[in-house]
This record gives sequence, C-alpha cells and structure tokens, in this order.
Amino acid sequence: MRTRTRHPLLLAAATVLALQILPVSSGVAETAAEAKPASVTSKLQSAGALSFGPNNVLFVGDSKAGVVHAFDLGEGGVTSQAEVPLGNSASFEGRDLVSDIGTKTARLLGVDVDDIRINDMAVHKPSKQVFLSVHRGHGPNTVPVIVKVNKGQLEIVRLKDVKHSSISVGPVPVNEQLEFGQPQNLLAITDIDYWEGEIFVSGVSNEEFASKLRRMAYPFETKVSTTSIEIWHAVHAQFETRAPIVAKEIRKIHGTPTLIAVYACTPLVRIPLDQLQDGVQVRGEMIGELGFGNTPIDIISYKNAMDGKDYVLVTNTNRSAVQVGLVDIGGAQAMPVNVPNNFGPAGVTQFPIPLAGALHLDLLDGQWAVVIRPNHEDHARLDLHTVPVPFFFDRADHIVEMNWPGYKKPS
Amino acid sequence: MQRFHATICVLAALMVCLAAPVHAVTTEGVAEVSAIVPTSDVLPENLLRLYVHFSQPMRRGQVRKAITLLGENGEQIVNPFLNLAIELWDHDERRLTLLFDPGRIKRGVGPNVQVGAPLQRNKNYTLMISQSMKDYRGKPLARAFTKSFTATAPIRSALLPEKWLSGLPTAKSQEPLILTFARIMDRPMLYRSIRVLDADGQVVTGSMMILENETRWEFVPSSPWQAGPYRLAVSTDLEDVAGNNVRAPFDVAEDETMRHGKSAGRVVVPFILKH
Repeated sequence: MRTRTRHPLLLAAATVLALQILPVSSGVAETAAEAKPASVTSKLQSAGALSFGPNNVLFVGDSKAGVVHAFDLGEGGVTSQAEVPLGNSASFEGRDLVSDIGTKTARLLGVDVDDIRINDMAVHKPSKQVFLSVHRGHGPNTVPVIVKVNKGQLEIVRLKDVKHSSISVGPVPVNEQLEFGQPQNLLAITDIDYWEGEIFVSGVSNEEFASKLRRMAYPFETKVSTTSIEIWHAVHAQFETRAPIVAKEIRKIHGTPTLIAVYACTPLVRIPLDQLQDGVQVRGEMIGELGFGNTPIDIISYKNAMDGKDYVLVTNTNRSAVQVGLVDIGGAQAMPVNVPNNFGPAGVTQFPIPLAGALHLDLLDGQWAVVIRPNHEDHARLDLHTVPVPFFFDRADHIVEMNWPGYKKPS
Repeated sequence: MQRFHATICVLAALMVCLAAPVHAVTTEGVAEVSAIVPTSDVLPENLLRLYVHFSQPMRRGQVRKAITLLGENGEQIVNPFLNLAIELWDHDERRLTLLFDPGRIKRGVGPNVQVGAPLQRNKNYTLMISQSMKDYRGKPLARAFTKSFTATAPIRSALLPEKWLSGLPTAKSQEPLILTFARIMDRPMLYRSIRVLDADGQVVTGSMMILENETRWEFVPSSPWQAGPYRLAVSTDLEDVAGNNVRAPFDVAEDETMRHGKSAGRVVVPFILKH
C-alpha cells in the first residue's frame, strides 16, 4: 500500500515553533506554581541519573534538556547523618531509613503515590545523606524535584539559589552535524560518574543505536569540551557491534584507572581510561557475561572489610545481583574468542548476591549500603532500607531461628 | 552566511516536527495508539526497534506490563525487549521506542546463542498494547491496539547511499527527487538524516515525503531545480530498521567490509540535473 505523508517546510516550521515552546514552558512553570514545591527550578526539565562529585556537587542527568547539571550544594546543602542508626551489623540486620518512601515522597509533593516516580538515588558519602531524583506528575505536568533524607524525614532540595552549571550531552556542534541538526534530547542518560576532574556520561538513544560515551572536564569549561568516544563490542572475533553502556564504575586496577562497564547486551567489560580519547572507537575487553533475559540496573564498588579486597556489585532487573572482585576483573583474560557458544553468566568469577528487586542501590559507608526496594509483605510499597556490606543480606528479611520469639543464643 | 543560518533554523524546527507522530495528535479526549512504526506488516527478523505513537502524553513505568509480543499461536514471547530502568520516550512522552534486546539480536553474544533472536523468519507476531495503559492523566487507552506482522529474512549489510538515486527530476521543474532503499528505513532518522545540497553547498529547502512503508523518500524543492550539479548529503548515523547504518552493519561479520569512518559524519552522493 502506498501511503503519503507530506510535510511542507515552512508550515511545519511554524507549527513546530508553537508545539515546541508551549508544552515545555507552560507545562513546567504552571505546574510548579500549582504544586508549590518551592525548590522546583526552571534549570531542570527532568531529573534522572544522580551522582556526587567533589565537595558537595550533585550531578543530575536531565535527559529531556539533553544536559548534565552540576549543583554545588555548599556546606549548608548537606546535613550529616552520622547519628542516624543504620542497623545492627553484628546480627546482619538493616533497618528502614524511610519506610513507605513512595507515599511519603508523594505527600511531601502534595500528590498521590501514583503521581510520583523515583528515578535515581545517590548518597553524599561524607555526610551519608541520601538524595533522590523524583518526578511529580506525568507528561506535560511533570515537575522534576530533588529530595533528600534528613534523619528519617524527606525534604525538598531548594535548587533555585544554588550555584549551578550545566553541559550538553548532545552532539558536538561541528558544521556537519548542524547540517543534520540532530535534536539533543534523544539520549536517555543512564549513568554519570565523576573521576579526578572529569565526568563520564553514558546513555541510550531513543532513535539510533548510539554507543557514545561522553567524557567532560568538571568544572565545566565554557568552550566545548565534550569528548565523544564510540564504544564497540567484539564478539568472538566474528562480529563487532556498537555497544551502548548502561552502567559503569571507575576504579583503579593495578594502579590503572579503569572503566568497568556493562553493555546493554549484558557483557561486562573493562576499558583503561587512557584509551578513552576523543573521536576514537574503543573496543571494551569482554571479561564476563551477565546472562540473558536481564538488564543491568546499577554498578557500585566497595571494599569488603572481611577480606580486605575490592569488589564491584551489579544489580539486575531479572537476576540476582552479582559480586565480582576487582582483582578478578584485572586478572581476567578476555573471554575466549574461539568458543562458538557462550552461555551466560560466564567469564570472570561472579558471586550471586540476594538483592533481586532492588530498584536503586548505593553505599552509605564501608559497612552499610542503602536500597530502595519493594516491601516484602506489601510489594506495592517501597522502603528505603539499609543492608549490611559485604553480603547485602538482611537477616530480618528471612525466616531464621534467630528471629523467633524466645530464641536463646546457644551457650 | 545569513542564508545558511536561516536555512538551518528552519531545518532544525522542521526536524523536531517531523519526529512527531505520524498521524494527527489531539490534545483532548481519550488517548489511543495513533501509529506503530515501521508501518509495514512484513519486517526483518533482526528488527531492532519499533516506535509506538500515542495521541496523548503517557505515563512512564508501564511498558513491561502493558506491552507484549505474541507468537503466532498466541504464546507470549519472553523478554523480547530491552528492559532498561529508564524507558525511551520522546520529549513530549507521546512516542515510545521499543528496543529489541540487542543481546538477542547480535550474533554470537550470550543471549543470542542461548535463547536466540526474539523474531524468527516466516513466523507471525502480534504486538499488543493493552487498553490498561494510562495516559498522563491516569486515563486508560480508548481501546487495546495490536499490530500483526510477519518476520522475514534479516538485513545484515551497511547502507549504500550511492545506490539510492532512482529518479532524477529535470531542471526547471519541481518534480520530486526520488530515493529508493530496497529495505525498510528508520522513519524518524530518515527525516533528519538526508539533505540535498546545491552547487554552492547550501541546503535546498523543500518538502520531503516518506513513502511505501519507509522504503522510498521523495523531495520536492520549494523552487524549481536548476540545471547543474547537486549533492545528496547523508548522515553516517542513518539506520534502517535493523540498526544497520551507513558506516557498518549492525553486527559486522569478519568477512564483511568495514567502512566505519567517523560517527556523525556524512557521505555525499553527487548528481547532475539536466534540461
């Protein structure tokens, strides 16, 4: 069947200008006024991936605007949570920092729980304070808000007067690209990492199968300083493909700063940072497969106080989390290229961790991590809960003899 | 220089517009699925993505429950799509991108080897959008929506723009410049990835049409063609529906020619118009 769709240029342009300007400006501004969360700032069009940089700088991925924001929260922007009990490490029991956090966030923002969405969570490590990126409302009524947890209470982070800078994650504006005028908001920002004066931003495009990793100096420079690295994936020396990164972590391995990344097609790869140069095509060295039917959510790194070794932990949508030793990552051979079948999980040694269902995860300190997860008895309810490191296992979640009334410790 | 900038401004606006749903969008009334792209009911088995257009902005967080892919016996295809924590919506949250799990499409990757590609050639599939899917106001769709299609042979080769010119207009006319692709292209990218340049390298203004289920592109200039040289400029990032682009196939086999080049560049195809 022959179908025709005609787009007269000038008419289209006029229509677009109307369509583009109205929904964005009126939607955000009006709803912000109605909602009265005073912190809502016109700087944010959306609030997604969160990460802390040096001092008290909070990076916020804004996929809708196509930028990464840096908010310098200053001394007064964070509050030490050192006195907040995190659980009983002797008995491997965590506790809720905020139970039913969805409902409480909704109440804070003046809406029903169905009308908020917690997009990401990051911990400001020096203070152990938890920050959340939240959307209030839907569609054109969406208002992005940053919320923090202060001694069990939720507070809106007031960003209006905070020192702010931002940088585009769109295409580097060279003439060739202007010709095609790629819109900047195609990229869904999946992860931001700060490392020694730079941020590394990954994302997945909602159009082309882009595999660009952005590397940018922070503080952001006025000139265009985006470095764009194309990530490829060699598969058994037979094929190679573009490979978007979903989650990543930067750690030193044998003294070499290394990007440990998970591709959308599930391989775990390592890439020395010094290979990530502008305009190059980088092939991540595949050292593990995380298995099919599964998409990674996040990757964090930590030191295991019990054996003194460093690890990364990858959380997944459909599989339990896995722990991988940094030593193993550094020492792993690239996966064999002459093996026809490669059943995941495979490659570098992976140790399963019982964190299925965790929607967001970050470390509080060397002994505790914090997760947002469905309540065990009421799955519709979300709790902000601590779990002890390195097992990420909360004994209180499970039916064990020690939890029974009247239990007496064997003498 | 001024002319150049004016052209760019118009083009930039045009591109945003053309990325909008294929059918008319209403701001009132009950939400419904207005289109699913690609529009063909015969699609390659290595199809990489589908676009679902809605008549209203939608709520995020519903995709895994509300959208399913069924096989020809009504059985549900398990995990055909990439389940990113962040869903791929456009700026207005009216267009959803459903990305098939690339690990199942890429040959030789663990998921592909273990469970195979989500689509198998010569089999029939139905994409189902549940009526329960809610718009931004919390209202369900007017009705459930289905798109049935048959999977056919995969497309595993890079795009070759030099083979696309299939009908040259005559000078002094406003006949369309016609490109035919011999494969189904990615519709939104097609709108923003091809430009016609005149002898001075300026972008020729006009209107473009995407026809015959995204296999044909026509361009009518706003002023008559001139006799002489023109160039077709094609972004190297342009893809077909299987993710093959101008630079390389989606997954490059070792016996295939690598023509990577630089991302976000362009290839140019010259042509000459005569009276």
